[in-house]
Amino acid sequence: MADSSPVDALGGRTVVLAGEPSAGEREGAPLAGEPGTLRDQAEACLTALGARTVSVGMDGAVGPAIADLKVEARVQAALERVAAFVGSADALVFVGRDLRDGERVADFIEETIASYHFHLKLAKRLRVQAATDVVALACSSATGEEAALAADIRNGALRQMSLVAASEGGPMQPPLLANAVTVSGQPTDEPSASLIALLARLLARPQGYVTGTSLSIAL
Amino acid sequence: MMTGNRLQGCVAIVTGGSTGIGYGCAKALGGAGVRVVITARTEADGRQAEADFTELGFDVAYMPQDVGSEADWERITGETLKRFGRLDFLVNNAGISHLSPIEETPAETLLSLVRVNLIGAYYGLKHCVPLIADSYGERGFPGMAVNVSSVLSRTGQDGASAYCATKGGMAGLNRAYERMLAGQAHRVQVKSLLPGYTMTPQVDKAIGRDSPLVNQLAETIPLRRWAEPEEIGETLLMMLDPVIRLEDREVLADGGFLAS
Repeated sequence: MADSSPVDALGGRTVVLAGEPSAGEREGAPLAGEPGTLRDQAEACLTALGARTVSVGMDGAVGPAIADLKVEARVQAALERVAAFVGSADALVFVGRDLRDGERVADFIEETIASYHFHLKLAKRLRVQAATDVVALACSSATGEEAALAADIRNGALRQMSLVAASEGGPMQPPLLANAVTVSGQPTDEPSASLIALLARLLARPQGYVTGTSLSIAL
Repeated sequence: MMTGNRLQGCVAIVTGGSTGIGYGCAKALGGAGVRVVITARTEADGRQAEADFTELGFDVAYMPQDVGSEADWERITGETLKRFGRLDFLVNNAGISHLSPIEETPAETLLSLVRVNLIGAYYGLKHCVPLIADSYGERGFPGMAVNVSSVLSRTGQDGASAYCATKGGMAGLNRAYERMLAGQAHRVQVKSLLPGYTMTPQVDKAIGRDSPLVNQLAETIPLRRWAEPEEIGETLLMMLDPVIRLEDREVLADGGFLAS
């Protein structure tokens, strides 16, 4: 019988985890008791599903630096670097971050879109070796008027870019499956049963005909 | 954290469950341990599907039904409760289609599509939603009625005016029910599943899996292929999954068609 919470559904598969920094990668040490980020939670979920996670940060070492995203020549160099580092992957999970304290909304939007654009290019490149699918995750729990506005713009952008990536996937085989998931609720570093179950369905490919969609779940 | 298969033992009615998308949905549900009532007008098809699923080890019952008949809905729901004791899901799938320009589409044809595709779904919700709500105590999570619509409810298609009208009406029906059930969404929800082009036996028989038209339409789909009915069934399971708890009113299974 099929199980609605498949353990090890991604066993043996490689998933690139990119985007929002983990709590440990944030500027300054996380405060005691500070909740984890969505990236921490996504990583915990992928681990629970048995995936081999390759973490790509925004550090300029392996992953792209923010400055790399603004000049195409640097984008290409970063793509070469990250693709060589990853080698081959079955999926890519991009996590959109929230507005930071003191950050301008325009800067946030620019960075988020450029970062997801970069990682979609990466997914297309990686697809040569494997049927790389993409899931873009983002929170909808930002508080404060400006942060909530920024989150809405970000969610719309991630959704639309996923639609485009899916629609461009046809001529290339295997096709790229790209879906955007908006997550409400406060992320913790504990794996969420709902996110585990959804990632299993989207990345283990029983939903082979679901692409270019926008889905919403609560943690 | 892992909750096991909470769909096990639930009960679903799948209209038009003997062939095509309905068959794919019933197969997915049965595979997840759901007890399934499949309804269909053609008894031979219904009995064959019942035999197929029984062989797979599913707890399944075929019941003949004309979804456009309210008396049939009263009988089907009564027999379902008598046999299985509860109802957790309805898959309003039964549907018919017709292709011809508006000026060449007889009124009788239009009304036959309205009767099956739209009034059938209306009666289904009317008779099943209260029963699904009533079974909340045994289930412990929201039950669901899923209207199987179509991407054509959004895009339209040349020659499919009657079909698109019924699927558009279904979207309105869905929204009305969503409002009506707002206070009891923890017990029962109504959602839409929008398949894209799906290679059902009927399509295969009518125009052929390898026909130029099928290939031409496949070129409009980012995945460059039609869906198989089983894939639509898997998407249905994702919608019903009480662990995932999708919040979306409509879920697409269209190979990226609407995105392109």
